[in-house]
Amino acid sequence: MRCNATILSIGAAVIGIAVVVVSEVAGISWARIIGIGLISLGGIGVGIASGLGDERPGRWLGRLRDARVALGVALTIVMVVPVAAALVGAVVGFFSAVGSGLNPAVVSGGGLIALLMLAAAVGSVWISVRAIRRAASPATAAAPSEVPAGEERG
Amino acid sequence: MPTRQILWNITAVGPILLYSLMVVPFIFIAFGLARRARMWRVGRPEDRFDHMPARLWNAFVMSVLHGRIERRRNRFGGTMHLLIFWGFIALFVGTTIVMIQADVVTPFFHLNFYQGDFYLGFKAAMNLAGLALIVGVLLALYRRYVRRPATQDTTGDDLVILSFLLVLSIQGFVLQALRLAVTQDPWAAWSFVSYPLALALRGLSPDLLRAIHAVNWYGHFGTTTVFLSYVAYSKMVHPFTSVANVVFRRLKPRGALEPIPNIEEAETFGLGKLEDFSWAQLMSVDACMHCGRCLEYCPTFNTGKPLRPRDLVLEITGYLADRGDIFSGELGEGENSARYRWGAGPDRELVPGVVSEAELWDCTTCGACMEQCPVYIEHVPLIVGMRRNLVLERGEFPDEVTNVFNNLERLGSVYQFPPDQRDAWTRKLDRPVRRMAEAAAAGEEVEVLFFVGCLGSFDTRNQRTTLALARILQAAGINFAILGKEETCNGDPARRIGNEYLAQMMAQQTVETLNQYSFKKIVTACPHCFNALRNEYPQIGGSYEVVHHSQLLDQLIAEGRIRLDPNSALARGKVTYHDPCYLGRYNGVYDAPRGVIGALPGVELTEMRRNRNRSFCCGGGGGRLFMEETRGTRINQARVREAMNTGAELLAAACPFCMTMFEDGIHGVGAEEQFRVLDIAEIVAGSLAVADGQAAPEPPAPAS
Repeated sequence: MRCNATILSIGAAVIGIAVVVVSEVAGISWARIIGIGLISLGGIGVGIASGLGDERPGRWLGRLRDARVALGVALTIVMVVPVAAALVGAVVGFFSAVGSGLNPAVVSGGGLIALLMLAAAVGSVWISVRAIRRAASPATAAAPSEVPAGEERG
Repeated sequence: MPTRQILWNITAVGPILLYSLMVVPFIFIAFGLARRARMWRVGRPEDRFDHMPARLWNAFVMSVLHGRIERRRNRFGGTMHLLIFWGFIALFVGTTIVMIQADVVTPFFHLNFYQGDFYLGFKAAMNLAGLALIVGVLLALYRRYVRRPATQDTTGDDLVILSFLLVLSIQGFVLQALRLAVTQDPWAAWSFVSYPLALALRGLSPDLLRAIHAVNWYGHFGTTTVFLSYVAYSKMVHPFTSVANVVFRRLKPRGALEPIPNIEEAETFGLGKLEDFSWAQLMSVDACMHCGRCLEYCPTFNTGKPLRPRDLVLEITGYLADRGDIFSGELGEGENSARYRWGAGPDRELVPGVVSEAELWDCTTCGACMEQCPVYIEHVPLIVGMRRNLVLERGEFPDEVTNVFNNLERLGSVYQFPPDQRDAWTRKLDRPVRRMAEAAAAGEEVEVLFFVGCLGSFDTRNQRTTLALARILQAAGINFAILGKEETCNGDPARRIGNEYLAQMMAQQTVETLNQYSFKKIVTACPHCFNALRNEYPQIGGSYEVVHHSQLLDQLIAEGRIRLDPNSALARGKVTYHDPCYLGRYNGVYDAPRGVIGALPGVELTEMRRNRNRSFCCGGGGGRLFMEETRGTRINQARVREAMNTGAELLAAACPFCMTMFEDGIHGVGAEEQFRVLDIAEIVAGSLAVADGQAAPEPPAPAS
């Protein structure tokens, strides 16, 4: 039963992707939502069928888990580099935009926003990479708390 | 007309990739949630599908309107969450609206609602939502890195989630600014955050801007895909699990623990393994989002004991993840996080492999954790459930409790006094007190049955409260009686300690005794008796009108049936009141005791910092009154110090357990000379106006 559901779901997702491709290539815009629906249902179906199953998660998930630190760090950098580049561009562009007849207050505001967002984006990389690397330490065997938490905090 | 081209600067490859790759987060989310649901199904069946409209409405109020999240004492955290929640939801809805325009309305109806005033308002609203999300995330980071509340444990997962949200919202603004920098829309100022950024970007060439835009568009959709795929394996699963827990929360009175059904034939007792939990209990531990609210008023956490309700829940969650092969995103970094991380192994015994015995026995069952939890996790039934397993299956419990169990079995009382001494206190009264048996023999119905309780009957200090209440009832001319020698412990201490078998035996015996007699209502000065009689006895056929003595006193004063002497020495100065957990949090009685104190002329009621539903336990509940407090600092002394810090000279109590703990606490802090504790019945009895021809009531003795 669950096997059938998985096969049906995979089928739906594959057909959905094909429909989306066709809709884009052939310009049949109304078909896209049908493709999206099939892809969504297919994905949900595959996830539920395999999640409710008794079998242990596949080796691919174990590999994903083992590689989570490297993956996490790489993805963090890849995700933030484009936006950071754009924000650096805004900071650089700000200097040429000043004096070009645009409202100087708004342009300055834009430069400030770019700087703040750049700091936040770079900061988030720093925070994420630290957090992910800390998680690299192996999970310890359970040691339930026997030690008092500290003095009264009020 | 103001509008924009959807998927501007993106070739056909973009939407193909976008929609095809949508399958990935859908698989990941569905797999993660199904994996969790599979583990919940390991639990026992339990009907939580009644009153669905009320459940759904409550879930709406609690989640969408932030009912329990935004609270007076949690303005910072509540507002932070509100900004993140509403920002995220608004952006999600906004994205869906754009998708509906592009993929439904345009191709099927050839219409465009995404233009004109709607478009301008939409742009402003989306900018506001993005700004709210960024501000909320920055507040969250400030809270974790700068404010660092003691109740918060920051894990890697927390930081990864916040980073995701921050980057996603920045990407959104940057994408919009890049487009506006090229298209130079005259209405661009409606996008009030992106517009200034777009002006700064105009210094770059349009071709370069287009190239950067395209790369960022793919970057944004890639980030969204990864984020959504991560959701079900991180604490971001809480929009699903927490809302589910709010929907399926227990609707029965919080003070009523579930009995072990058919205990004589039961083969397992309490919670010894995951299969012993109900599915709803397993779901509830999965709903914890680590906020630490449960710790804020927790007596054990605040006095340095091992039990931290949040960590206890997360320990079970980690175990659940290990047993269910759930790749939990709990990356763990905080000082305790190693204990509840996934990966510690599925082959562990629940106690002590997952939860320690120290954690279980330190709990006072005060309910502060449950009162504060924004998603209605019920910690106390979990703890008592695990205690039941220790006591009934393994015979493991603190040595001090052995005497309590023996006394209850042999003498029907927590103390080692014979039953015939239970009404010995009545001999100290000028006027006799009737027994229910006498009234029944005379064929009379009694208005009030005074259920005295073990502490009020045998404990010397608490006998003074009993005497005071009896004098008040006599002064008010109330037709009351006691059970006398027929009264036995109601079973509450045994039940909270985990000896459910003994508790059911005691409760059954009490119900049989009570059901012999005719009375209108029961009054008791003990909130533990009050809670058991009111909330738990209906489970075994004992439905009565039960009032706490503070409610009766409040009523008697309001009706003028007792008058208070404005010249009484007791009725003067600053008084602070302690809310007993089993009266306040479990039964919502907060105003009646304050009404009684407020009626005393010359008394100024001054509240402690932690009051009402945020009251701090005395340390005596959950059987702790009978156990040694060997870990951390003393709970009763912490509360006494807090009471003294109000400047009051008198602490008003309304519970014999609290009374015992506070008397001990006052000795412990060496404040016998300047501070004392009295039950509100003692204060009222000592302030009664003397009617002509009546003897003056005996004033309460000083604290001994």
